[in-house]
Amino acid sequence: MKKTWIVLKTEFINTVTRRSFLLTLILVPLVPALILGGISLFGGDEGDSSSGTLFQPSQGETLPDGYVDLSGVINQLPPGLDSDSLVEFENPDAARDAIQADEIKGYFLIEKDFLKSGEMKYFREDFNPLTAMETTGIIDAVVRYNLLEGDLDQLETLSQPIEVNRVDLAPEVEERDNTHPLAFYLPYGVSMLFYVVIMTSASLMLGSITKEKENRVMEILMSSIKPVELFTGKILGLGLIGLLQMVLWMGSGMLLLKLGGTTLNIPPNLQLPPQILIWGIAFFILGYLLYATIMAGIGVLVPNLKEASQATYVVIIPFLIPLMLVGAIIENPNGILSTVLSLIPFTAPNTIMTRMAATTVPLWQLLVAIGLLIASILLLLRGVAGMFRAQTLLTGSKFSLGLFIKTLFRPERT
Amino acid sequence: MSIIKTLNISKRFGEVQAVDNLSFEVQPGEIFGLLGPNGAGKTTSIRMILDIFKPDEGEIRILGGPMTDEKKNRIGYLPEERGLYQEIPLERCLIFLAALKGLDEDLAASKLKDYMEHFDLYQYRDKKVKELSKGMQQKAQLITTLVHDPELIIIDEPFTSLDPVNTEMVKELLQSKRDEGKAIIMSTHQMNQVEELCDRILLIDHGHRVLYGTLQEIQGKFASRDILVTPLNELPQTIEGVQEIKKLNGRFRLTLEEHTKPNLILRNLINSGVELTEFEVAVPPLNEIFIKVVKEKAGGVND
Repeated sequence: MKKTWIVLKTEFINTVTRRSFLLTLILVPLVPALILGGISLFGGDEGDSSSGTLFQPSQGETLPDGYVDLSGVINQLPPGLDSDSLVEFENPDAARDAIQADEIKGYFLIEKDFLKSGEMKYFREDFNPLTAMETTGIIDAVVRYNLLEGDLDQLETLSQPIEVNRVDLAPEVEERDNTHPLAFYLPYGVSMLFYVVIMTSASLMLGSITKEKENRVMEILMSSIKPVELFTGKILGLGLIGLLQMVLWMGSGMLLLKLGGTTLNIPPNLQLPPQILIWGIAFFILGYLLYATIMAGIGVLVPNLKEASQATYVVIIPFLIPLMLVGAIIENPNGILSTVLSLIPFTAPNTIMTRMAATTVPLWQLLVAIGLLIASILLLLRGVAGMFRAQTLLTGSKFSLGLFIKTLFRPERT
Repeated sequence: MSIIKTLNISKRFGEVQAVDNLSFEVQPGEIFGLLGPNGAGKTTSIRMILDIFKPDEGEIRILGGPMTDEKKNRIGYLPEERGLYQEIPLERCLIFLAALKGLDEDLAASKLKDYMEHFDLYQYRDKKVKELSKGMQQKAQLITTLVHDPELIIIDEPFTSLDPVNTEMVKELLQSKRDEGKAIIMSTHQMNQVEELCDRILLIDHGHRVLYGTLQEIQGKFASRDILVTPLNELPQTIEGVQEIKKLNGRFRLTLEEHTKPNLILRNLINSGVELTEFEVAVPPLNEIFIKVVKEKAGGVND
């Protein structure tokens, strides 16, 4: 037990003091934070996350917009939007003069045949992509308000995209707003994060064992510690590193989303729920244990890292499946494909986390997935612990999946 | 009490019989040479002693009984296939390996300091292992073998990569460990080092015991009837009791007639007025014995 602790501690310290690891650990959350900070600083748009209000002009803009209504559609401005926020002009020349005089930042030209063509133009001196869309949203809402003859309730309904909510009869699930771009990118990001964190940690295991073989330290270790103690120390030490990485990245991701909610107007229903971190930790641990055990098995079999890298490609294919099918999973997070992938241990961790970022996953699926993962891990651990014997550790051969499976279930006696 | 006692141990890997019915003992306070050609079964025997491999047959008693985890901490091992963690600082690497031998980390650090100073490595303690020369790494490996003050030291080719000064230092260290009562098994192909250091030897070939005993016994067994002399003046053409006189570089090799004692030849030479600066009963070098025995065995096998 004491020697397991020594291995655990040393693996942890050796990895976290590596410059490349520290850089990755810090840079991954730092880069998006800097981008967000940049947007906040230079975009000049400090928006309000509660600005779901239909007519709220963008705060922080010093100048309002104007409009020239040649079609006569706009008869009144909605309540809450005064004429200082959206200024009416008789003709385009007057509006242009107002731009020149810095009274407005731009103006909408509603053509005569607007009701037929549905087209309008927006004129401004420079183009700011970060605020243009929002500006369009205001005039759009004002026009709709007038078309509906001032019926705010209908406008509210109309302003929402028509959403067909498929309701599964069995689970009580809550779908999120999937019209927002983040509805795709958020689960995709979580999927990528999970892929990177689990694969990084599991690969550390492979690297650690093959390096000991390459450095020829293995025989000294074998004369000092039981193979199973070595294996346990490694898997726990490297697991802690992965956990640290995941909590830090996911935590800072959630923090960024929260801060970004203010800066980028992320709707509240697209924020990641806090419990995702807890499920994330659970599925990380299970995913890590599954893949790190497999990687350890590969490490035991092969003579060097080069041979191991080739072997890794074979093993990570199942892990890549959820990433390859991420579009389908996000589009239908409680569909058959998503459910099946959630119940296969090799694809479960990633699929479940992707789904959790997109919707609410039924509890029974989470529990069954955890149960199946634990069963698979126990089976693999038994096999790999059996492979962790001196004779296999001190030798090495070309990797093949057949050899791996054979050795996994029929470890040679030393 | 023997430190190691192996009783008819055998080990087979597939079709290859690596060790076959091998028995020997190692006593405290001796340097025991484990010799043999490449592939003779030396490393497999060592690995069985260390419980890295289990013997297919036979029994090994180590430090008074079967191997335990606690006993592993009382053994220092320098394998032939050896190395260190290349990417971490030297001191951290040595502390880790010492801790795996049961040393408390603080105690390990203080003992390592002494050893590193002794081996002139202390100023490199913060350097990554890969930045050290081969010789320095070899010294560091020796430190990991000795730092926990083991009762049994097993070293395979301990002088590889060492310059003459460090070779001498390691020899002195091994001799001092022997004087402290430690048992040392040394496996090497450098026969001059065996002659200089080893008290007893075991020569194995194809997994079998070929020679086993003290160096003197073995050399005595292979001693020829030759005497080496270096005279200051001319030797007589014939000497009573000498069958053949052969001139070497400034020396003469006298092959004695059967049953002739060297004392008689010495007396005859002095009586003949020969002045001698050297008179030596020719003992066959271990190297010759090694080659002779292995070749004979190979001949036997081929026949």
